[in-house]
Amino acid sequence: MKSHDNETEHAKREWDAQERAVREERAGARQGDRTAARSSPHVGIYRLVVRALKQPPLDPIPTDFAALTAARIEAESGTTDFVETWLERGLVVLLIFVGAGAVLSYNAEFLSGYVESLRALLSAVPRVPQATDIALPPFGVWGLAIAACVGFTWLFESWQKWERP
Amino acid sequence: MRPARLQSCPTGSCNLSGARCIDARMGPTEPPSLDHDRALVEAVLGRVPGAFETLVRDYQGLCWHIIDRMVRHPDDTRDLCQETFLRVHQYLHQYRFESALKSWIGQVAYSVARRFLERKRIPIVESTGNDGTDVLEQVPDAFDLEAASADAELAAALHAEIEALPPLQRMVLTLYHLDEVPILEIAAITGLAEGTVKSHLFRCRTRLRGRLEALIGATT
Repeated sequence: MKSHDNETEHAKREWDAQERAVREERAGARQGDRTAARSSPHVGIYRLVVRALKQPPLDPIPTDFAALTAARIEAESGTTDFVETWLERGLVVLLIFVGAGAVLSYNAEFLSGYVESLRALLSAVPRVPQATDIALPPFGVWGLAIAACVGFTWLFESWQKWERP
Repeated sequence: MRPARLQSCPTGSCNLSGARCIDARMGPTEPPSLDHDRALVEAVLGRVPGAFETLVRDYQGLCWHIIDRMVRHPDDTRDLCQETFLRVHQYLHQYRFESALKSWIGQVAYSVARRFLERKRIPIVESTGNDGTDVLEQVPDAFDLEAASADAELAAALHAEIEALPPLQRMVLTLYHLDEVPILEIAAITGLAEGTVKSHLFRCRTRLRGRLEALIGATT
């Protein structure tokens, strides 16, 4: 127990000496170092360690690294944005064509059914709607699904724009 | 040619114009403030010409030090630094100003370097071993700091010992001593507890001291 306390005490003293060496080196670097002679041998050795740590063998940053990196990343990002924009537009056009194709593929019976159903709904406004009133034919369900998709996409995009500072 | 809106700020700490740069009122040695970070981030997100280059220039040193000290290879360092800034560019809209931009970019750089070392199966931290505390009691009677500092052999041996440290410890020591990043910020960058960062600093410096004393003892 006593040995553990001694170790802790030694470690604390050592940490204090290390940090004092850091402070003296930083102050010395700013004031032309008038403190070196005053350091104890213990702190002095740590000051030498701190000096070595302040000058690690680092590979130099290439000339124009910032300009080249920024140009490359912005160019790549610009290309990606361009592709994304056109892909998005293409998909919207595709969606419209698929929708139009779906309308044409359904026969007039479905269309008339849809109109009938809408008419029934409108005429049922004053009274409580019955389940049969809102039962839409398949095309109506598809129409609602497409509207929901478009609405969800629009909401998601608006949220993304709002989120960005 | 750089647009007029991004001419160098008076402090030289960034390339934002005086009107946009809050640090124009501060000394050149002050770290970039949160307002400076905000102005810079908004400029990058607003795609102001030159803004992203300013961001890279402001933080390339930190990024380079973190990665270089971990991977120790100039080509890998360059590639990983570029990858870091690519990620910064992609995810900057997610930065919430909850920490300094420096810490946030440091986190990205550290995680890129760590993943690189993990892929190569290089351990980033020493699991066990001598922490050097056996030299705690050995205090020399006298020590000439300036004479020892001028000893090239001693310096070379000390640098070799620093290079032999595991990647994480090397990086923590460089951030603390060269970049003067506070312990709390190093903890934020590495995701380590503050006590763990202190422990790494303590053990490495004690180990280096032990090595230095052995060398001095051998030369005297």
